Amino acid sequence: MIKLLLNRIVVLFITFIGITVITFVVINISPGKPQDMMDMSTRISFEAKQRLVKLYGLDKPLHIRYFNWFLRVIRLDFGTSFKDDKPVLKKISERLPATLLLNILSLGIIFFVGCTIGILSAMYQNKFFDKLTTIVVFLGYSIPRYWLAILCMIVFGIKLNWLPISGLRSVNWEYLPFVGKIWDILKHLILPVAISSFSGLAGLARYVRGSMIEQLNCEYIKFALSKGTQRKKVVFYHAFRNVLIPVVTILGLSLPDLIGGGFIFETIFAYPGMGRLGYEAIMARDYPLIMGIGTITAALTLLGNFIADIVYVYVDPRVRYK
Amino acid sequence: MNSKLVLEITDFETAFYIKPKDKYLFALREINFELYKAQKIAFVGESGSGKTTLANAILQLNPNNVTTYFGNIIFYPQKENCSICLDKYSIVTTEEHYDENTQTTSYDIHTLDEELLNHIRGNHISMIFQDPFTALNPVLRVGEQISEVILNHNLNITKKEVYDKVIELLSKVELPEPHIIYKKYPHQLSGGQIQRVCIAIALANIPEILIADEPTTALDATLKHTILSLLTHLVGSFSTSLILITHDINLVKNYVDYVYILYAGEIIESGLTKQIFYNPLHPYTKLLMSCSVDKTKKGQKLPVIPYELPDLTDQDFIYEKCIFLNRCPQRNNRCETKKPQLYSIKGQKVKCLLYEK
Amino acid sequence: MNKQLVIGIIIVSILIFTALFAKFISPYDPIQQDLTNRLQPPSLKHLFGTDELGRDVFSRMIFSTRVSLSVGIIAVSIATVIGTILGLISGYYGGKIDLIIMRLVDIMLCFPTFFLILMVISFMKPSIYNIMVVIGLTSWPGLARYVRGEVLSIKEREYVLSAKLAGLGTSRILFVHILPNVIVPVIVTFSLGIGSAILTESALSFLGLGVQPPNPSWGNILTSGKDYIHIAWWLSLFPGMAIFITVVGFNFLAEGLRILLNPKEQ
Repeated sequence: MIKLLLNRIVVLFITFIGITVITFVVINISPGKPQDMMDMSTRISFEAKQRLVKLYGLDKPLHIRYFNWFLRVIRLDFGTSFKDDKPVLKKISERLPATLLLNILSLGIIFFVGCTIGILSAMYQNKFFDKLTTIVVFLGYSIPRYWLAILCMIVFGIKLNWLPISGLRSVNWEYLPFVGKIWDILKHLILPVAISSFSGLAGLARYVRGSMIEQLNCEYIKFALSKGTQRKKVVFYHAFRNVLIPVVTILGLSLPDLIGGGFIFETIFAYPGMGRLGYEAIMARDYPLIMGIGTITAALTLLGNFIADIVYVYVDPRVRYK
Repeated sequence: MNSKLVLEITDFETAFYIKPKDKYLFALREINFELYKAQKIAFVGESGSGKTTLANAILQLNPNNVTTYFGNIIFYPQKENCSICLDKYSIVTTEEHYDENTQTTSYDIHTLDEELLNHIRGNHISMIFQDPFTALNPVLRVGEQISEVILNHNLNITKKEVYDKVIELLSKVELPEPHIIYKKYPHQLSGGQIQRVCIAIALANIPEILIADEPTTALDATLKHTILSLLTHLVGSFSTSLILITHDINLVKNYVDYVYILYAGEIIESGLTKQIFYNPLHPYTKLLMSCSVDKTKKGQKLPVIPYELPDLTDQDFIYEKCIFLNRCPQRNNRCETKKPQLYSIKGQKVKCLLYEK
Repeated sequence: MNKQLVIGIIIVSILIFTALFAKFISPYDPIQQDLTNRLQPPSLKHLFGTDELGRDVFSRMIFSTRVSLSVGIIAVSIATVIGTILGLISGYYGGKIDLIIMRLVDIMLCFPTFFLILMVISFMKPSIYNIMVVIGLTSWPGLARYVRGEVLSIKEREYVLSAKLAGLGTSRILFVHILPNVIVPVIVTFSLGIGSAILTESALSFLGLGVQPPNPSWGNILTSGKDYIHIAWWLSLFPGMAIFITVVGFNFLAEGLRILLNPKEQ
């Protein structure tokens, strides 16, 4: 058990180094790399350029620059933004809570709704509900999420006027009572959360359905039934416990997709999260900010996968007691 | 037999609907048998003979969306102070379920609702399955899985009582260090150990009937007799009736009182164990006896019964002709035109035209 | 032939036909502006309406088919070649090579692919060729991991062992004896990949990092849709629908192929 944990931590560390290498290399070898930009961009002040050359040692060879950069990164020093000279870490930490809120809510929705749909389809296999969800799930897989976002904005925001379509708070938020404040934020969250969880939900529902059907055909299910256990309990206590274990891993693996999707519809919904910050940074070619966001999102994903791994080991007795 | 009747199956048939072919497969036909208190019977047949279907049918464990049952499975509960049975009985009873002469009550199992069925399963009738490695839930502790069957049928019981009962059961099935076994997961136990756990689960509530579906097939040869001895010993001590289902006719010799030979979904011969072993009548039974490893001389090839099982979706064949027709070494022209009945010869019954009176 | 395959083939054939004969099908020049007819709702004259510069949306959408299909096919070809070869090598040789390749796969899978693509694209001149290459270079890890798993089980089978004993060269064993066994999932992944590459391309164009105006793309028509969301719903509805149907078509094709080529499924 402890050996396994140590092994995972070593792998985690190696992967983290890999992430920083890729982030660094991708940016530094692509055409339009920062040092080229230094020459042509007029958006950057002269002092900023000087500081950058010094800070990033742009005159030094690639591997030395990487090493220096890496040493700063592990101290969480990502430099300052080109745009407004604010520390990158500060800019990110301002936006991070909103993104975490969005992603944790989405993960929760994906988990509960996806599992519920999957279990129900498996229980009523080939009945109307199952056939309907199979089609919806298949289409859900293919739909461009940002388009769905725009359609939902048109229908629920503009035509029906039920939900706000941008930001996280209304302009008069400050003046609302406490309950009103929470309700206001919730209303702003409905569309972004619904859209961002949509395709993950479709995927998970499909997985849970298949895996439930497989488990329900296992002999131990028949044995549990032959003990006089109620069908409901057999489905949720016996079969679902077995399905739940890989679901943990799948949720971990869906993180990059979730965060990646955030870049586009956080922008659409003008949601004040890290995704929109990343998009703005990219549009402004704000090099330190882009690298900071890239490293932090990848590291967060890595952390998510690591937690999923640990939970997996913990919940599956076959791995725990090898 | 003077003993009390526990289970009575009459004119029982099971058909599975096969959707892609839009046909029915008649897995079991013309099944009639009785089971008395503390009696041990065996159903012997090769794979595909319908023996597992029969075992599952008694507890209604066949996939219910494609299965159709005909005939009756009458169960006579023996537990005297089973309040749920008495309560429920008054709700579901119709006059034909109550026999005034003998004052016995009974259920027709496949007319029961889910709730009553759950009451019977694991309490009045329980079951052991073939493969011990897939029979237990891999992510639950052994102890929890035994506790479950106790909790299912004993509503006012404390945690301590359940735990003590589980430990007692584990020692009854001769598992060493029951406190340690309680906390183990199935993958930490050997096949023989798991099968003992399954026996403990099946006998936890001292049922009237235990159905053992090939309980030793997946085990090592040396373990087979140990497990069977334990099983029959425990069953005997609880006066539980045993239905042993197996493909290995020689295995049942020392453990059961009565043997039914199942072929392609029909009982083709039945008799006391002695009768079947020393005087098999049906050509199939005779062949089956000659297939055993024990009786084959060293260096000699094992005999094989040629051809395969008949197509059970072909109603013209299965209801009009002898079911063993295409594999029978003693067939004659009449076998193609007339379906044999069960003919009784000194208490032994055989379904073959050779014995027609 | 199954239902999914038929639907998939029909949709994909229509798309290919549209792409090839875009010039003859489209009623208007896709970049011809007509400022007197700005933001016209759908009518018989302009089937899907006009955009903010009076261009015919229907014609623009027809020409977009070319961009989307070519980006999809080329990007996925790149990814498939890389993924398959790395998967074969990793699974067949095992050891350190396997360890390095699989660690690389893990690292790649940790990145939100879309952000990685955004990051790279933002530093380059936006052009569809760059997009093809970048999508291709970032979407191979899943396939590589899958192929590796298959190879691991295949290489222990007897016919591979006997091929080794017969002294066949490694490349011959890999490509003649092992590759045909993984080709079905590779084909299925190829078709699925086209769908998702088209989604990525349209998203990039939507964000202004893909196909540049005045050249049409479903994604950049949607950008106008977003800008005129309060008044011109048709600018949002139709291009999105086109992307949706295209992706559905390729997904159906993949599903159909999987069923057709997988005897067990039948």
